[in-house]
Amino acid sequence: MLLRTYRPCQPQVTRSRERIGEALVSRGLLRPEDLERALEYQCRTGDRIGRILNALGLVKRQQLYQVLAELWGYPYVDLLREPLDARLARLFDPEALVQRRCFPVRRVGNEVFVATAEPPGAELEEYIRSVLGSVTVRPLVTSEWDIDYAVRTIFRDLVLDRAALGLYYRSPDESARQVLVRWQQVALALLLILVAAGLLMVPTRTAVIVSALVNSVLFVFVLFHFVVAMAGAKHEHVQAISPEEVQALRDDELPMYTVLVPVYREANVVPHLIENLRNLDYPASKLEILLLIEEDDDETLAAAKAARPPETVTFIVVPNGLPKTKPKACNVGLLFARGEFLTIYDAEDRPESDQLKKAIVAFRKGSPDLVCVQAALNYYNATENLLTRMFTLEYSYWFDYVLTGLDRLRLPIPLGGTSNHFRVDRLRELGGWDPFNVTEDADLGIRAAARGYRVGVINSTTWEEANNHVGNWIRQRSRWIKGYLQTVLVHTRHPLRLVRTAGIRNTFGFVLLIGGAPFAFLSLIPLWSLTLTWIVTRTHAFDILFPPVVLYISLFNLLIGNGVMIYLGMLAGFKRRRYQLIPFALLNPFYWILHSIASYKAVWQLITKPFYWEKTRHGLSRYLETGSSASVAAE
Amino acid sequence: MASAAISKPVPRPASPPSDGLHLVDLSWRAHLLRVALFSLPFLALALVTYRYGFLTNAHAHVTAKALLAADRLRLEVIGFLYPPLPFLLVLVFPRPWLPSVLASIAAGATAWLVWYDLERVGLARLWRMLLLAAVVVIPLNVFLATQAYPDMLALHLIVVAWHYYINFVRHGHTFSGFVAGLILGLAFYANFYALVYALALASLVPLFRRSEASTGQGGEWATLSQMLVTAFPALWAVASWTYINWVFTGNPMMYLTDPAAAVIDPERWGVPLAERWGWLAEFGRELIMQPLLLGVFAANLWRAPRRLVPLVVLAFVPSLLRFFGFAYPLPLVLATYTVLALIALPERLPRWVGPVIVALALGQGATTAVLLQHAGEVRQWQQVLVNGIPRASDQDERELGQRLRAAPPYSILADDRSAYRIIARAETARPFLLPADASFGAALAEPARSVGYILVTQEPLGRDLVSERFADGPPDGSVVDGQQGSWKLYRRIDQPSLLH
Repeated sequence: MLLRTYRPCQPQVTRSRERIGEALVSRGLLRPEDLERALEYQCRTGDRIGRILNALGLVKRQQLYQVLAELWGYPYVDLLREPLDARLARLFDPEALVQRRCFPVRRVGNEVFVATAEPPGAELEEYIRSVLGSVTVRPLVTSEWDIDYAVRTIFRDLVLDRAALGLYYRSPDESARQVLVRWQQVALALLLILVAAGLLMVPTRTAVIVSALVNSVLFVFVLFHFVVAMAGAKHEHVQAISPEEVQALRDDELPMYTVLVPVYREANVVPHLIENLRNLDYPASKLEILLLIEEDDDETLAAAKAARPPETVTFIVVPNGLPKTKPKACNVGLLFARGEFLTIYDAEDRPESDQLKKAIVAFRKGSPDLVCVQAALNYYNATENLLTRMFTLEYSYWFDYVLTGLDRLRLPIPLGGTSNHFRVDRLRELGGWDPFNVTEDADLGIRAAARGYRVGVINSTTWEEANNHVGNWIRQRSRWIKGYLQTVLVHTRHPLRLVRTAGIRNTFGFVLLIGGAPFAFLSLIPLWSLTLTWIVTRTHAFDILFPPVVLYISLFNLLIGNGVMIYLGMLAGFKRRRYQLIPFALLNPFYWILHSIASYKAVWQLITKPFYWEKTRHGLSRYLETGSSASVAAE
Repeated sequence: MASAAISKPVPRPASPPSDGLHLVDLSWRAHLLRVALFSLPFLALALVTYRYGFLTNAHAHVTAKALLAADRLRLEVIGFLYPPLPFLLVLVFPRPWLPSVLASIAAGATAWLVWYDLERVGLARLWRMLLLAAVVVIPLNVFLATQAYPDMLALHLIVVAWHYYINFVRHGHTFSGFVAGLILGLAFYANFYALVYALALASLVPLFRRSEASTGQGGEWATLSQMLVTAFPALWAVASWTYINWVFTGNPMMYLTDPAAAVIDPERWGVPLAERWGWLAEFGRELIMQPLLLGVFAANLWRAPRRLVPLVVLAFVPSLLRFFGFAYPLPLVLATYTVLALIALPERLPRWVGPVIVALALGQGATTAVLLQHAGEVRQWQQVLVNGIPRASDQDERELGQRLRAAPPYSILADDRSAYRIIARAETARPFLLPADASFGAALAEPARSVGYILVTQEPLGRDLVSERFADGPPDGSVVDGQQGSWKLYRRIDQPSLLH
């Protein structure tokens, strides 16, 4: 119904006592047996019947709200067709409009017509008057989807601005928009000058100092990894959440859960994505899946529509603008998220069906400062080729042992790319994701720790597609390493403040973990080249670089350090009983060379194009078509 | 609370039962406390021995090397002493009593682990105590516990690794597997035969493993993985040490072939293979004279027959090593048999087995005494303790060492191939100019220009360059300052006397 047919002089405040279910049946829009089914569902979940009917696909959204409008006694409005007063709407905060499920459509004199998806009441009037002053509120009924659409349309630039620059405006020091702050620029310049001058004036001493520093840091890095991994191994057999705890959850006590799925140029993966999300064990009426599609990605949008997703899936078109990154898309999604909890999945993800429930249990068991829990990531195409085997070993080691070890040692946990489950209110408080950081996940985990929040791990797995192509792998890895460098640079802008808020232990752990990895990989090729050159030529030209103590440390790193890291790589296969992968840990030194190459590319990109998101191609695996490949070993 | 999200973590359904796991059921503090308690008797005996001035060659050797490295601040000066681990631990505070202390602690820790295992055997506490006491009081074992630090350290590390290894192969406890592997790798730096034990344990995984149903870990790949995890660190340790030898000496296998190396037995190494078969009778006789070990084999055959074969294989390792010419001192062989017997006792034995086992242990003590009746240092040590009279050589060395300690730095030309005991007694290497020093060669050629004193012995060991060069008397410009036992000190005529 278009607004112009609304006659304000004849208010139609006639509320029917008919229930929505009965109303839909009487109007022939719902079958009685479907209503029965929905009512049974309602007994279990305690959710609103209208939401249930829509989520189960029994009633179309527009039909539902048209009938609700009749029952509530207010006109229905289709915001896609109704002309909207942008000036009026922009007097309001878009986030508030989304959360309150209302949208001001038009003002006629002292009357303001407000579309709402909730039963109109005093709260709505109060809110409108708090912005516009003393006006008469004329409610109209529309769907949440319409409201979101209207917000995206009218507030497009603001949505984009907040998503891209919200964190930067709120807290510039926490944004990677600026790669180096002033003092970091000065320090870097001084360091380079110092090293250059040293090499000119006292080359031997300078080279020895550099050698000593590099080897000492590597020594500490290896020791740190050893301690963390063994802490994780020691607790391999404990689980955060038991099956009994999950089964004890009642559907009626489950909150609204938002799932963000940012996609870009992934038309080939979307059908599988929709299928995977259908498998989530969570009441459909309490699940809100927001598919975040870039504005210029018509192909993916078409594929998503063609996949005929369930009603729980909503397409959110992300306004086109720089930086064009996944975290920016997620920030857009965050604005429209209505859930109490939120998680992110990538397009190719296959989360375990009870993952959301496990997250709920974890938050209930955890302390109030628990802001996020991270599920494990692993690969369903582990055995596709040598690269996927190495990648799977690495991921298993990281998620099954390192993150568990960090959790046990109460050190900051850098989040994985997906399957991080947040309390939405705390996530908003943290400022969402940094769209300028290409590993926004790791950054957010550290930002949370820096603010005194905790991140935990849950015993649930999301299966992903491992890169099976070296070029694609290097692209992805260089982005990760670049992101790690960004994260370190951002969070060490105020080192004393970081130590004060996060503690010396957490600061040390963060720097070693996030900064140590790029450092180790950057130094790998030069150090191994030195060793190889010496082995082949037996030259004594490098002897001056290695006075006794430096020599002992570097020998320790070369022999014991590398041995320990290869050995720790073997850990990876045990928890998931992927024993066939374990011998491949012996090939880790070759795998590390790839890391080293990627790290140099990362440094180059950090200088030349720091915010460039090196898109990883997905959907390349031949295991994509299989529901569960043989490589996903039973746990 | 261990984790923000995991306030009360629960075991995974497929996790191993914690009551079956060894060692991980106690905190490291609890273990440490018990180790301290079990070490006390050994420490007391070590102290008594030290007061009598008794110092074994092994302890003197490692102390002297540590003193040298501590003074010169370069590890290369020790000539890539193998095994390095005992030396590195003594380097913390090199004194002649420290190896005894470390040995006692290792012994106490081993005794604690044995007691820990005996608690699972099912015997009455009295018999367990008597069994442990019967084994500990065997003079050989006490000697090993207090006077053979490198051997005791290696034995202890292998016993620790054994416990974690059992957790790994029988219960699928991954953490234990990696700890076992790392300890075996570390043990290689204490003794060469740790590599053999690592390989033996790795190859015995299929025999020690429980069924797939009980561990939840099945298949050939699981077995292969456990074998790899067990063996890798030791193999890597061998490769690393070989590489280090090659880097610094040009000879990657120097640690095996150097005359001072502890790895090969110089008497057995050169014997042709065909002539070695006769040794098997000797080894067999030794084994037969181990009533406790044989009794434990019988108990396993009765209660846990699947374990018998791997245990027998492990028992043959000392013989195998000696057959191939590697060094495995007899005291250590016999101690290995004893410890293996104790840790291999099957669980849940009937109570009547208690007195039988104790009797067998006493019998083992008797046979040990018979086998070691000609063992040099063990016998001498026993005599010192029993008679309360220090060895004359110890007294001489101690006195000489204390006097030489006062000499100016690098003023005494000596060769530590023979003089290591004196260096250890002096508790410093500073006064000595030794073959590891760059100016040693020049000093040997023209001592009058470089050093004030020359230390020679009438009983040189190995190729003692100094004693060899100055066997006939002091060089020109020097006189005999004095003699202490078999040691003579020459003094340059312008130097003050150290011995008077």
